[in-house]
Amino acid sequence: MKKRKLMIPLLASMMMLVSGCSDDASTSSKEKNVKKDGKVEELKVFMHASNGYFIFNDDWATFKEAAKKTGIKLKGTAPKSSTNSAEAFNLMIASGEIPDLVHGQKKYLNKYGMEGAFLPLNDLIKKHAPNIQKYVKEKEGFLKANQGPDGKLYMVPYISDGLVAETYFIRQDWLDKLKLQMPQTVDEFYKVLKAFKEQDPNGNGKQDEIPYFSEDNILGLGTLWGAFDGLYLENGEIKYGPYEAKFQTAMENLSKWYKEGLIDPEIFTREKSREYLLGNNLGGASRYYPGSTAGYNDALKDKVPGINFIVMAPPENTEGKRIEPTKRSDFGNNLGVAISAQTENPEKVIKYLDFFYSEEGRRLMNYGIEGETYEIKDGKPVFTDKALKAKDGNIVENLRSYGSQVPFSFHQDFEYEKLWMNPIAVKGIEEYTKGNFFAEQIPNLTFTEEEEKTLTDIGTQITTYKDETVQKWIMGSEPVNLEQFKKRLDEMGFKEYIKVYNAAYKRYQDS
Amino acid sequence: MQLNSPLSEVKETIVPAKRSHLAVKLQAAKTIIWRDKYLYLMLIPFILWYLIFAYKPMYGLQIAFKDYSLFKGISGSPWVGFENFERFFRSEYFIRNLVNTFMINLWGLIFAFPAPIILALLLNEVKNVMFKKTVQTITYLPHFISVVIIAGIVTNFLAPTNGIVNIMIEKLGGEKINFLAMPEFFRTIYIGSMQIWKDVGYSAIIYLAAIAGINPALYEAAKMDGANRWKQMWHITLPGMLPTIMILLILNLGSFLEVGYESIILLYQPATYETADVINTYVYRAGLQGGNYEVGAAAGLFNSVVSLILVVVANRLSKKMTNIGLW
Repeated sequence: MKKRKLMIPLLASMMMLVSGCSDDASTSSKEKNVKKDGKVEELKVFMHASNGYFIFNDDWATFKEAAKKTGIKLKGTAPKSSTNSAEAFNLMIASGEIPDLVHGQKKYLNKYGMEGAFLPLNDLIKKHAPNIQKYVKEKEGFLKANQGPDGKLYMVPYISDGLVAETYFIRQDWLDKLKLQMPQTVDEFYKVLKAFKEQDPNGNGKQDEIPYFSEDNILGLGTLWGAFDGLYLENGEIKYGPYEAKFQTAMENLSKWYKEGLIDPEIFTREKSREYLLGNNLGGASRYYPGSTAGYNDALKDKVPGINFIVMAPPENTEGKRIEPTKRSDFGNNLGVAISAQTENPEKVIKYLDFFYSEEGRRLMNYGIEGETYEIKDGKPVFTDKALKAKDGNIVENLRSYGSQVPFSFHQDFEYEKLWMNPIAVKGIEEYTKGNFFAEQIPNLTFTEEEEKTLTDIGTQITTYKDETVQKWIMGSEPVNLEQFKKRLDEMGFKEYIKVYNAAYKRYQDS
Repeated sequence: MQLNSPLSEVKETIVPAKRSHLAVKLQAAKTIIWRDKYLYLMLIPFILWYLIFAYKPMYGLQIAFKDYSLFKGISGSPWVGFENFERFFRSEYFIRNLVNTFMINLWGLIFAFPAPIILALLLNEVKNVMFKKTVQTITYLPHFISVVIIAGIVTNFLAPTNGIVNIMIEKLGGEKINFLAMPEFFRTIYIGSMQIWKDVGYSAIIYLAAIAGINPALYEAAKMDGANRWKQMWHITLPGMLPTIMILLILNLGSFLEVGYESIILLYQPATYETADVINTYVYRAGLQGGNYEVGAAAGLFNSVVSLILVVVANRLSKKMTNIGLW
């Protein structure tokens, strides 16, 4: 009897171990077949993005609405407890049970697509998806930008709208106070920053102003001297900014600015610099995403009276050009939805995805549900008060709770951002778009596995060396010496690295 | 057997004797096992744990020699020989990263390893129980703070414009120092915050337990012989702790190639790569942990082999010098 008493907890614990191991596998393999209750079919979908910020939720109203139109209901399979999207995706692939629809990053969807996990979509789209096909035809470069190295398309991408990524910002109220004009050139910009530093625009009697700060890489300022931080396009060739002669000038100047206190001394370590430096009335100018940055004008209007942090055009650089190095892609954000090779009826699945590229589906993904989050006024969708006020007025967050504006495969409509964005940001975005200040962007290139390895191995060395050296240069612990820098890059295999890029770019152009 | 018949004859005479010997031994083992049956029962879950979590995954180690694809699976992926190791060794920074890993661990060994020993010795000498418990609790608590928060505290304290350390330096007439951007300070900051401040109290517990296990009669005898407190500590407490110290030291050497890279990533800057960049952080930046499990496995295997060698050597040395060893 005694023995038996002891055995029971032991056995129980062992069983827990065993069942714990096999649990995941059995639930995902069960009910693989598509259920048929009435007319609505159920498909399984894997979606786990931004480390758990977007996990497919069966209750999303948008997708329920889509089920009414398409007769297909989605059931999410991604683990809600995981906070690591890459890991969740890899586990799903490694399990061998690939759900009918898989949301993920282009690179991985292509990789496993070529290995046979996902279906090539080119023919399916041509035959069964008129809306996607229409888009493919209209947007030249769409296929090139999203297909795998083997020339086949494995995913239907999520495409954001609007071209502006980051913009310059400046405290207009400080300019007014010091009776300064909006800086138009790099020299004027320098003088303004200098004045911010020395003439006490925040009026507290101390020279505690931090003229330029940023949550982004400081090297974004390099374009003021025509230099780029990383890879860029010039005359049909991909170049590496730090390898070009202009980089020397840019670094010398940034180092000088840093030494004179024009750049936040903590620019490399400070987190949430907008919150701290704007909130304490210390920061003067910056470069960052306009939507969220302009929002500080509203958030801080009581704490910092008179704050007017507005978008400014990039100052003319030493070559007389206005350049903003960042730009959003026209052809997708490297996210999309692939169709599993194990699905029973690919035709139905692609038709389902096609719905989201239709006018109706697109509106659903952009604005939510008619009558609930938006209504049509003068033929245009307008958000309802309910949608605008919920969640402390965070409309994006609110729409996402419906399942709209999540990076599923659809084409975003920029008009939606204009409906809620701070007017300063909207004006700035229009200015940047009209002025077309953007540097030419490198398209989404695809690499063979061999090339990918070269890029990782050499690229990591180059980036490590570049980041390390640039910080030392800017902080002044080492004098700027581009010749020596380039020599080291060559030793690391820079020529091979850039060759791979240009070869991939040539393939892109030829295809 | 047939070939060397003369020998087999000899054997035959021996074997029965051996058998009986073996039988006796088996019988003895049986009685012992039967006597301690509950202990053995209690052992089963741990043996299972090792089989499932330590031995079974070794099957997966082969991916270090494969071009591993998650979709194709372990057996379906092609062999590539030592390519993954080559990729891992080929970097210009491999040597620097290796040296940095060693240096950080060496500093840890010199400064962080003795810290809890000293704390335990000091606590042991404290007579006031209230004070002792308070100190112990205060030093022990930081262990439960997440490294992210500790890194945040460190960054705030050392910030060049408004960090408390720099404000103090300035008030004392010194010049502000951007600690976190200077390679020469990295090891001190890392060891000081992540190893000493965070874990000194927690690690001291095991030493305090070792001290508690020392026979009080030894102290009485020493007192009779006129040993003062210092002598008692030197000749009784420390030797009494020595087995624990040695075992922890050997285990510590076993993880000499591993550094908590999460806490380094939180504290380092490109400007401090010179001393802060270690193997794991480099592999992390290379994005090798994203989907390139094979290179991760190769790095892990390399770590394990070096660790094994270190542990074996350390164990041998320790056995020779102090007669204490893991096995």
